Amino acid sequence: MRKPNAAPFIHCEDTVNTLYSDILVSLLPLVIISIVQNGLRVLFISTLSMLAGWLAQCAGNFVKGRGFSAGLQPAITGLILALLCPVTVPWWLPALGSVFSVVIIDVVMNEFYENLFSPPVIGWLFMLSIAPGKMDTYPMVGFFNSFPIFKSEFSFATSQSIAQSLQLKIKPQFDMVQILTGRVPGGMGTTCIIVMAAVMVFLFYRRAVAWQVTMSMIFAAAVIAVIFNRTGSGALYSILCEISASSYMFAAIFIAGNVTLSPKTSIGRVIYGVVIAVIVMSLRYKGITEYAVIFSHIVANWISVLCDQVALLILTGKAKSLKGHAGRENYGRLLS
Amino acid sequence: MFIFARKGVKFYQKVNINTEIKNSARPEFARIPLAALGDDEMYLKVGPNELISKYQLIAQSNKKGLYVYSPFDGEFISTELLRIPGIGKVPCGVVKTSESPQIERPFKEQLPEYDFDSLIEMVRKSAVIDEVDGVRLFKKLEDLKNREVQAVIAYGVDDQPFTAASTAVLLNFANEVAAGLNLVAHALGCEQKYLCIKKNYRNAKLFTDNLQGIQIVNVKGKYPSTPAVKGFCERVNGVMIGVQALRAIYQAAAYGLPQVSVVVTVWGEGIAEPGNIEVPFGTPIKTLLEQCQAFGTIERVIAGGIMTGKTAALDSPLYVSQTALTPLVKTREYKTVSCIGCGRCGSVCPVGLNPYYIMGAVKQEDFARVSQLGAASCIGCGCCSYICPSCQPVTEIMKYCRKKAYDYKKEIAYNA
Ligand code: SF4
Ligand code: SF4
Repeated sequence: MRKPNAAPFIHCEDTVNTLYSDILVSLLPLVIISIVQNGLRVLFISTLSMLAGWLAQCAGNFVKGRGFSAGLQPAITGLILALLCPVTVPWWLPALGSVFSVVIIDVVMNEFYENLFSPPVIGWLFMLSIAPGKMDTYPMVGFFNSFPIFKSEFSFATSQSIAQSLQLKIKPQFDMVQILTGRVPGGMGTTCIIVMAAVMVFLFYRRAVAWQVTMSMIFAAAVIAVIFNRTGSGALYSILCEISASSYMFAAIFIAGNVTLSPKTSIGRVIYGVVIAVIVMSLRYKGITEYAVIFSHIVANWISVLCDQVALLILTGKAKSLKGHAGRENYGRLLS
Repeated sequence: MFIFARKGVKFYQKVNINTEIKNSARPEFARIPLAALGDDEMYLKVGPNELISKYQLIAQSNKKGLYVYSPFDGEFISTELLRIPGIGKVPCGVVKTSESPQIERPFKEQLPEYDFDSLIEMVRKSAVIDEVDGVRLFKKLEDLKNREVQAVIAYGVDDQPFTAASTAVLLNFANEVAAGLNLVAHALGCEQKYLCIKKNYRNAKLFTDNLQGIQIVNVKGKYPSTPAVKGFCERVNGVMIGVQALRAIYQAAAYGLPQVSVVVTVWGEGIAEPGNIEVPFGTPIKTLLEQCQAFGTIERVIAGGIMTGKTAALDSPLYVSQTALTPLVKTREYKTVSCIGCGRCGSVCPVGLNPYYIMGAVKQEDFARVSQLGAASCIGCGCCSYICPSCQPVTEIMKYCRKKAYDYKKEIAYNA
């Protein structure tokens, strides 16, 4: 606890806790819509994954002598990972992914080099690597499906996702209303564009995500989708397909929009978003689907500081050195 | 006409203070700051136990010609070294005050005319201090000798929470401010005259109608407004002077009175009757709090605005740049966590700095980089600390960085 002994003597309402709780709250509508579509299995998988991530962070903190506690961030990682998976994945997979990403990134790597990779990206990559067949096999979508809650393996009717159709150069079998309302195969919480747009506006208003990144990602992808239309349909249909495919819009909001990893300047954030969009779309045109979003994020995380350097060069006309990340730190120590 | 402060922070505070200006209660003892400049020294013009009258010269400096006048009738006792928030330890003249008669002074339309040099001399002798930056106004005017000035800008913006002194001065003494502004503009040979006010004040219309020939500039947008106003000042090649200093110039020209008081807003959580009070210099803060019916256990008193001010002791005397006094009954505690790298500090900085990277550089003791990233231009506005979700003391660290950047620049210049 700190009582300010120098100006300013007031503080805005926002704290790290409110920031993360905003993100958590904004993920809940996606969970609810997914429960409506897929049944209570979604709730079970999401809760388990959140809990696993949080407990992994608590254990990590405990081992480091910081007590058995953690903030909301690992729980958010767990929930994001759960929502990225099809509802039919083994229930333990998102939980395992979230434990892996929290332990590797938050507990181990952050001790040496902070803010290098986004935990959800690493968890997503991990899940795709250990269970590729489970991660890209999608069930038919409808309302009030009731998949078994606790079973790991079960049979279900599969359906081709938008990304898979586009990869095979086939026009996706869904109309615009289905795409907008999320009644398309995909990650269990990453398909409903309307709900995602609503929570996106909320998060922009609360400044919980870097809106410049999210908007430039969506806008750049839309421009590319119009110029290089793969759907054989109208421009709007092409845009909707590209931003809904492989959880692109969800990643633009909840992963790329993460303020911690994105650049710190507005122009840097726009560059960052455009870079991600260009990499994703280029890889998609080369036939890579699920991994495109992950790979682009990994590259973008590496060049986050570079984006800021370019931004400062644009703004001031002078190249400025921003050696690496400033790192997470309690800067109050500087004053003691 | 308006200018827009695009970057900074927004406070959601309703301005519901009474803008009437009351006279301050008379303290039994006042401690009048005898602040000198640089290597200058103050010499007393009165001795112990000497009876003095209001507006009497009590001290004068030997080199730069600074004058200090008594704001009270009474008996000069001795001098004491006291800490004045924002200035540091300053010798103060202790005066046992006695009742002064109230003299009504009607507004004078006709004022003597001044040229540039006589204006500087008049302002120096009248000990006028600009409340915006606490600088002796004659120093500011002397600096204009090397510059072609085309506009005079009166700064009447209250942009921090719990401040309304400038607005109160404008509402009550618009004619005097306008007369002061016209006088300065005439002496400097400027055609253009502006008055910067904050939009939104419900009474703005009342004083904007009074100011013939002066253009009103509405300062919209966020806190702080000073960078935007300074930008405007540069565009019109002007000089910015606070409204209280302009009123003091009018009083000096009209009645030959030196500046011995400042209008202060006393407002905050622990105040039952917030208000604007005309306070003679040297009045202890305690007197003002009692007058405004402070209640509860006041934990801290902030002098000079809650965003940029300093904590003050209850017996500290009030001085000119402290146009706001904000008692806090309970200072909120903030849970400081590690910086999460959200970049909000950079997004609100009104001068376009990026504290995140600057703090990273200072942590690595790379002062060349601290300087290269522009830390020297930090104005200490407090926005970065206000907005930081990790509750880091960003402004304090940035002030430290600013000092380091200055030191680094000096060292480079010295080595060159
Ligand atoms: S606002 Fe605070 S938490 Fe965010 S980057 Fe700046 S110092 Fe770090
Ligand atoms: S860095 Fe300095 S100028 Fe910028 S917001 Fe912080 S205190 Fe204000």
